[in-house]
Amino acid sequence: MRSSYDCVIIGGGVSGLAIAYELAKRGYRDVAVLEESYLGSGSTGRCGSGIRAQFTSADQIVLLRESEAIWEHLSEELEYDVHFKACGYLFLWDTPELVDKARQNVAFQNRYGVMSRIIDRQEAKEICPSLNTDSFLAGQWYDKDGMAFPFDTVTGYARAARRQGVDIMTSTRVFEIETTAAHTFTVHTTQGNIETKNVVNAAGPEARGIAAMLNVDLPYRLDKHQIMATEPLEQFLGPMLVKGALYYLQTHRGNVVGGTDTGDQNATDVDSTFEFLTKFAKEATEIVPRLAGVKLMRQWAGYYVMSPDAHPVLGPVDEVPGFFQANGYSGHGFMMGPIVGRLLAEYIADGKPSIDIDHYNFRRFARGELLTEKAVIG
Amino acid sequence: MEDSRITTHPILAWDRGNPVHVTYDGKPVTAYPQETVAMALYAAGVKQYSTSSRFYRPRGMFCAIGKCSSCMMRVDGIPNTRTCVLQVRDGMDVETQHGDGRFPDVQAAMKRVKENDAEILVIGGGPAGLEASLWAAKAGAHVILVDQNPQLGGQLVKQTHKFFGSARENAGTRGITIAKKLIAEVQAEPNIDVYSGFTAFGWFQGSVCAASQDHAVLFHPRKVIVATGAAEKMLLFKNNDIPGVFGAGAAQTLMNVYGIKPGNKVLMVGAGNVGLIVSYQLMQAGIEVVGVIEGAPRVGGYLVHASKIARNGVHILTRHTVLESVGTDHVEAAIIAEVDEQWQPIPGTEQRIECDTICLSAGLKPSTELLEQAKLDLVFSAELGGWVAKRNWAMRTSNPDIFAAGDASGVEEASTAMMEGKIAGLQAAYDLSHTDVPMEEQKETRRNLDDLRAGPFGAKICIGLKCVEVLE
Ligand SMILES: Cc1cc2nc3c(=O)[nH]c(=O)nc-3n(C[C@H](O)[C@H](O)[C@H](O)COP(=O)(O)OP(=O)(O)OC[C@H]3O[C@@H](n4cnc5c(N)ncnc54)[C@H](O)[C@@H]3O)c2cc1C
Ligand SMILES: Cc1cc2nc3c(=O)[nH]c(=O)nc-3n(C[C@H](O)[C@H](O)[C@H](O)COP(=O)(O)OP(=O)(O)OC[C@H]3O[C@@H](n4cnc5c(N)ncnc54)[C@H](O)[C@@H]3O)c2cc1C
Ligand code: FES
Repeated sequence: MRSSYDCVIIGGGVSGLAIAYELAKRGYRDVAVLEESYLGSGSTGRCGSGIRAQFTSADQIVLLRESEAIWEHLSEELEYDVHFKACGYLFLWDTPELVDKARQNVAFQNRYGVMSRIIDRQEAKEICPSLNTDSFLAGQWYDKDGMAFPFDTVTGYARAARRQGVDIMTSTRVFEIETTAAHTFTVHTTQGNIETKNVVNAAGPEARGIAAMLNVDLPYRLDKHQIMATEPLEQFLGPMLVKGALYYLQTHRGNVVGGTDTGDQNATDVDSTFEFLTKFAKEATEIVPRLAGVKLMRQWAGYYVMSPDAHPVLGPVDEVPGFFQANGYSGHGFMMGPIVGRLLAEYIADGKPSIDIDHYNFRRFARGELLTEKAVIG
Repeated sequence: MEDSRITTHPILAWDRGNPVHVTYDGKPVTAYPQETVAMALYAAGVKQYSTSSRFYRPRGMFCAIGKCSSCMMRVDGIPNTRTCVLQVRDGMDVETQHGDGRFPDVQAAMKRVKENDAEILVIGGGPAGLEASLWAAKAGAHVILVDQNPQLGGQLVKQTHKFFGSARENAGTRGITIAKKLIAEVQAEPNIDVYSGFTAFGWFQGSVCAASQDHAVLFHPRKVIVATGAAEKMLLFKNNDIPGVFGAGAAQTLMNVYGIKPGNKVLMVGAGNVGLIVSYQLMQAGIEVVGVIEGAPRVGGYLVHASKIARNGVHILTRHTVLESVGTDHVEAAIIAEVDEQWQPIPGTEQRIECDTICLSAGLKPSTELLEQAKLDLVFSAELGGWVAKRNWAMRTSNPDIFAAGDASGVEEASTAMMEGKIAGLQAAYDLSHTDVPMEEQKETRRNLDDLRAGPFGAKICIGLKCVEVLE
């Protein structure tokens, strides 16, 4: 670690590392990533690894459509297998009202080139043979959605960034940030101080605390979300299944990984509960009954960093020039990693991102210009 | 079909009862009701249970007590079943598992999770857990004892030798005799409910979940005593994962608990007490021990055990290690070599030893998974076998409601495990305000424990305890 960099990124999750890699790719190599624990130790390593473009707001649809385009070739680009697989997302709707709403959403998504469609139970069963077709009325399906493995994604980005000269420091915690008269920052870390022109706040659940160091108040709420993994099995499931708050998929390693909502808003711990297990088991076996014979292997939890409108905060902060945000993903930050990395890097390196992300700016809260998103699941 | 069940033995006899039949890959196999699936198959000559998930390498038994998952098969349509701890049932359908298990083709019944308000939950029914349960129950507490094996007794049920250890506590008695006595006492005690075949796997805000093959129980205990024992350590050498490589304790389980020959020509790696005792017991069971090798310049175990096996013509080669196990589906030989002061193999000293079984007795590691889940303060102590929970003289950990005892709190021996269990059991009952707790018994036991550790073999343990025991 040196004592000065052009850009310091706080957080070694998918956001911080994707931004670092994309900066380096643009020749902007005087970059340090600071991670207080190990890479992927935050939300990224805890996530459900789902990637989808089936959202309900135009902003998210476009962003995720572009993100999926990067995911598709990310392993080749990083020269590291991130295990992206376009397994598709299959939403299961069980009331006529929900099916109607889904039809509207599909039409909306199609307008932006996300070619999702409504399918009947028969077709759903062909896509996912172990489905109980009595448990839903119709499906909503998009075959370009998928999954990737979080730890391989983090490793792939980190290696590629390091190859291009980025310094990545683990076990390095930021505990104070000062602004200087010359509009630069002094970042205090447990491994010494760093002078820098730009600071990127990619600290996941800690983003609010990092922003507070520069008197910026990010209006976030932390919700606990629990998740579990079964023993690994031969591939049998097919797509990511979603029904209400329930979601699960089968990873490349064969584990079924997924979660459901337990309503833990404003949480202060990430402890696992037994109530989650029974709720998940009940909901999961309703749609795939034979899961009842599959053993639980691991259970854990993490935070969804909920912003007031369930959209992330991306880009600079007007009051503190050089201080960039990449946080508040409200449960969707893994899938957004590649596109956020690219757009933030363009912002920092060139002053202008290739997709307009102005409406994701922090100032929208003060102005009351909130975005809308209804589909908050994994 | 082959039958490697032992019929005559100088010390042991097996009352096997009437045979039952299980189906193995479509073929009938004879088994006996007390046997587990893996044991019955082994006796019938089946030594490979699955292939590994990534490279499809052959997998056999390694620990034989449910701690390593090397023996997983598909049983009655359910994949990844640990067959070494699953008791046979007539008509069971057992299949080799190739790579990852296949998704269940039958729908298992979802059973409701039972809940149970235990006063004291004891996890593990080895010597530590049995003593803890007995003394807590005697003091008036209601105890639930869970153990993942079909039978109680832990490591004690296979120890046919006369015990070393404390003069006061059982020295000169065979481990199996002590086990029988303890188990009978536990079974006669109305204040103890036993859940055999239940694995405790999860700690949820003070509640503990345990499951058998088809039931789960969520316990809400007021005090928990963790006495989960220890797991045998693996050694690093080429091809160390193929069938025929066993933990020494596993070989002992096969021959002394189930009366099944683990092999015909055995190489023992490690000459501590466990390695020496198991070597001798292999010979008692009529199995050829082709050699005992030990990396250190000296034999680690007691001289009496070493001379017993030397008298029977088995060489103990010190300063030697195993480099490779030869074979594709099963061990056919071992390559061993001399090592220098840094334990590095000396080129040119390699030799091939013909054998069909390699037993590793390279020490044990405390089974602390549940203690870790409970977020206790743990410290690393090489002397005690690895990570162990910090605790006070009463075996109370950094969580006042959780106790650890026996090998799970630091690898030592059965005598000390029993004393620790007793101390913890009495303390837990006392903490729950039971009135007739014989606390002078506890004091006496603490004194005996100190005396026992004051001997030459306790010196190492005492060094370990210095960083583990919290003084009050
Ligand atoms: C159970 C669960 C399931 C999820 N499922 C999905 C899903 O299927 N798809 C999806 O897209 N998203 C999902 N998410 C959301 C996703 O995990 C996050 O949005 C995403 O990982 C955020 O990545 P990040 O890099 O911004 O933050 P993180 O991965 O949290 O990284 C932030 C890093 O900053 C470090 N840090 C914090 N403070 C400091 C400091 N002071 N100094 C130095 N370093 C610091 C942390 O240690 C951490 O490693 C899920 C989340 C959870 C909890
Ligand atoms: C070959 C050999 C020879 C030995 N000789 C002697 C000797 O001569 N003298 C002597 O004093 N000591 C001897 N020992 C050591 C002695 O056997 C152990 O120290 C003693 O058995 C430890 O007792 P324990 O109760 O702590 O654990 P264990 O006896 O290992 O019992 C632990 C029990 O916990 C159960 N369990 C574990 N995890 C779970 C879970 N998650 N859920 C439910 N149940 C669980 C296991 O099934 C097991 O039954 C010998 C050991 C070996 C291997
Ligand atoms: S778990 Fe069965 S051999 Fe280890």
